[in-house]
Amino acid sequence: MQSKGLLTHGGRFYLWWALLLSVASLFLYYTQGPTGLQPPNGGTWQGYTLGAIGACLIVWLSLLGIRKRRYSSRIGTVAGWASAHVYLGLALLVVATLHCAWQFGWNVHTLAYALMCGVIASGLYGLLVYLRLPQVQAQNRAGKNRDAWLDELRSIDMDIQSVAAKADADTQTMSLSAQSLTALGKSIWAQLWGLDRSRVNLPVRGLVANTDQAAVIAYLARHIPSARTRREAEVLNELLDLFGRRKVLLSRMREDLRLGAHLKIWLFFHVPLTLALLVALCIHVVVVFFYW
Amino acid sequence: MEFLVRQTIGSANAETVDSSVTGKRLSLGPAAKDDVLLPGLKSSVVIVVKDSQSAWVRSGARNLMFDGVLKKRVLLNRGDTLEISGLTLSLFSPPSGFDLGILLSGSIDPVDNLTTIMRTPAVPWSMRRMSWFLMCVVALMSFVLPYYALQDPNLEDVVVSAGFPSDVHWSSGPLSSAHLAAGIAEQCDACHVQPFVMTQDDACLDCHKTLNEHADVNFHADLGLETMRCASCHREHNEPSTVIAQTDRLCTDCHVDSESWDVSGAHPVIPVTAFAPNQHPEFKVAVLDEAHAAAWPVWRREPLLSSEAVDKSGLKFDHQVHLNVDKVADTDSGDALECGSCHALTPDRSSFEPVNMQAHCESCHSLAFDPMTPEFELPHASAREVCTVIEGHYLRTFLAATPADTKTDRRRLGSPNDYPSVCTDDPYTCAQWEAQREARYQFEDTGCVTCHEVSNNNNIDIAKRYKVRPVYQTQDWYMSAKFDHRPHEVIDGRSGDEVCGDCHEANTSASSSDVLMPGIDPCFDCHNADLQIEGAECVSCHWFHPDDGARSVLARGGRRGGNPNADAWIFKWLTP
Repeated sequence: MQSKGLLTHGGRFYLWWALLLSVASLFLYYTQGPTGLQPPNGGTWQGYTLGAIGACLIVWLSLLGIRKRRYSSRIGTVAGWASAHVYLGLALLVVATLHCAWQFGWNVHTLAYALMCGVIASGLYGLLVYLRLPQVQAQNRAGKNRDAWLDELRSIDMDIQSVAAKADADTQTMSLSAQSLTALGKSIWAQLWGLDRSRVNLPVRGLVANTDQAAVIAYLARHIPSARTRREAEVLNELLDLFGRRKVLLSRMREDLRLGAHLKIWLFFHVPLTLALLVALCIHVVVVFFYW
Repeated sequence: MEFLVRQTIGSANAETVDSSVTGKRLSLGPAAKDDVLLPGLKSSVVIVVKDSQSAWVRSGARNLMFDGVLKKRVLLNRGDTLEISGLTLSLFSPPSGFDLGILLSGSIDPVDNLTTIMRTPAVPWSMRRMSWFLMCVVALMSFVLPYYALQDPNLEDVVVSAGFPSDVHWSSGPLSSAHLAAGIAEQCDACHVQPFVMTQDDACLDCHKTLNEHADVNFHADLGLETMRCASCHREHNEPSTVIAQTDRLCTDCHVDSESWDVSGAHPVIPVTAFAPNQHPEFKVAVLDEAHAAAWPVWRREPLLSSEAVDKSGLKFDHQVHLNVDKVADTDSGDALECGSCHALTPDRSSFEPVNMQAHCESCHSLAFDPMTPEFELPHASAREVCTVIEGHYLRTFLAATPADTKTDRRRLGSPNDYPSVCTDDPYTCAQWEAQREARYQFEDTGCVTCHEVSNNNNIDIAKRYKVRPVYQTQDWYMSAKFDHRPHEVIDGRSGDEVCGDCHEANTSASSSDVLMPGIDPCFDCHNADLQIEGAECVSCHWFHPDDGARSVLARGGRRGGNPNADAWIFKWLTP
């Protein structure tokens, strides 16, 4: 809900400012016109104006990172800053593109533009995931949190160990290996894509993939009908039930990790790219006048 | 090093099992290579002795829980407790013979590894490190390296050859094709002589030495032409290239009200607002100014539609006859002549090479004059030279003849003349008569006079009697404009004479005084600013820097070098 407030804050006050800025920039751009001595570019007075606006916007947008950490600051509300950050950040794309007048090349100026696009793209992604994923995450958690899941998993695993102790050695080994070889988002890549690289040491077959605990569940389901005694069948049934619960629980945990990674990964690009952009912006300005 | 590893076992950890390991370090983990096997541990843990009281513990994963914080590396002192995935590790005082005693108690919690992940989700890298890395890379590659390479040519060679960015990557856009020459494209300071100072004219005029101002700066001093920077109009680094400005404003800003200009008795300058009907003056063509033609050719411009627009080349030529295959045909093929038979475009295809007697006329209009000796030809030269050759020829002919065949040889067979067909005088007189007769024939009847305008002063000496008017072929009919024939050679799939005839009405021209140049109207079919058809810009046909302008190098001499003190402090600050 808070993320939606980001867009609707103050009656979309900053949306109108961003639109006004974009329209004004377009007007400035087209005053360069086809009858000028040169095509629209960053070197006309309109281009310099758009460039100055763009540079000021970049610096101001970067200040959000400082403002949101200064809890005692009275320069607007953080919600207001964030809302302005979103709308004016998108308007920056219009301003900067009109400033450079679609002239791109293999140079420091286009580097600054590319970094700016990277910042805006990562920010846009961050906005989209913040609009959508918290709800999905809440639904997935169903009122629980990660510690509760871990406790539940520990409980299931202890039950599996105690039940497996009643089974034959192969089943015991397989159950314990399924636990110890369970993988849960070890790498950022695995987290982002919800990859399950769990394995299990199956009797005869050895180490095999155990994605979604499927291999161990299939093994147990396959061996229940061939159980030699009723007790063995009950043990295998019990294990099947426990691994089924384990599968559901791990799926939820993995999904929670995936959603959490998507909610955070954009910032990993957004902040460093912003700082690199500030450096590139300074270089862009210095170099333009160095070779005036 | 001797390690004593003590592991508690049993449901209440009441029993212990000791094992000893010898080596520089001790490794605990799930792999067979580990000194102490601990199934369920995600990665190996390595213990290195620091002294008898402490040891470094290092894990492949951040799973060492020490003082409530998950770490990858811990200095463990005796009395400290370290948790690894549910396993407790501590140091104890070993019996003599061992360097370190390690106590392992509890059992590995398989969920514990998942706890680590769930509590501290993986990140690609530290955001702070990533930020510093990117900032440093951008600063180093985009500015520091190019800047220092700029100061040191040796370093620049290394940087460029290694493929690293140089100051070329500071360029905001591509150069125009004309400036992509060596020495400019790769050397920014060829134009940007001084940092933080706009490109000065001297950088342009170093190469463009023959460039002229738009007009004579002394005559038009009030316009201040020489105070305008070259780069004010000639903008580089743009796409599309605008080093030559195409906009009509370049001209119409001033020429829109040229009627109001004080031209001090000279011809008024007709206003122009665009290349479109009623907005551009009728074309003027170059007409030979006969007042000067005797000394040197001077052309003046006259409106094409005026009676003054007459071709005064001095040649007699009938295009209509020469293009009629029934009257004139190609000597080789027998086909009708084409425009291209005589008119060859200049290499720049803007105008035509002059028509040449030897190349274009002589195949039909032979200069042989004596049927007895058809291999001898008159020179295509001045009347004096021609008459001298004629005289010499006949003197040789008559004086070389023997007495026995005098009468026969002195006769000029087949020649229409009013002298006796057989000369009975002495050879010298006969030769003079024949020379006189031949000269009259060439200059008065049907020789040179066929194509040339010849005047006769009746001098007794034939070498001084005739004068052929010099031929001045007008090559540049539109003196204030340029025309590129290249894009006009094929129009609507048509080419050759068919296209030439669209503009040059040679087929119906019976006199060489006809000016066969087109007026402005046919141009509007394809070039019309009103219809926003391309190619209607002023500079498509006109030069901004005409031949009669003041030489820019001289006019701008006082401004060369720009302001050396401008922004010098910045340069000093940046210079190492």
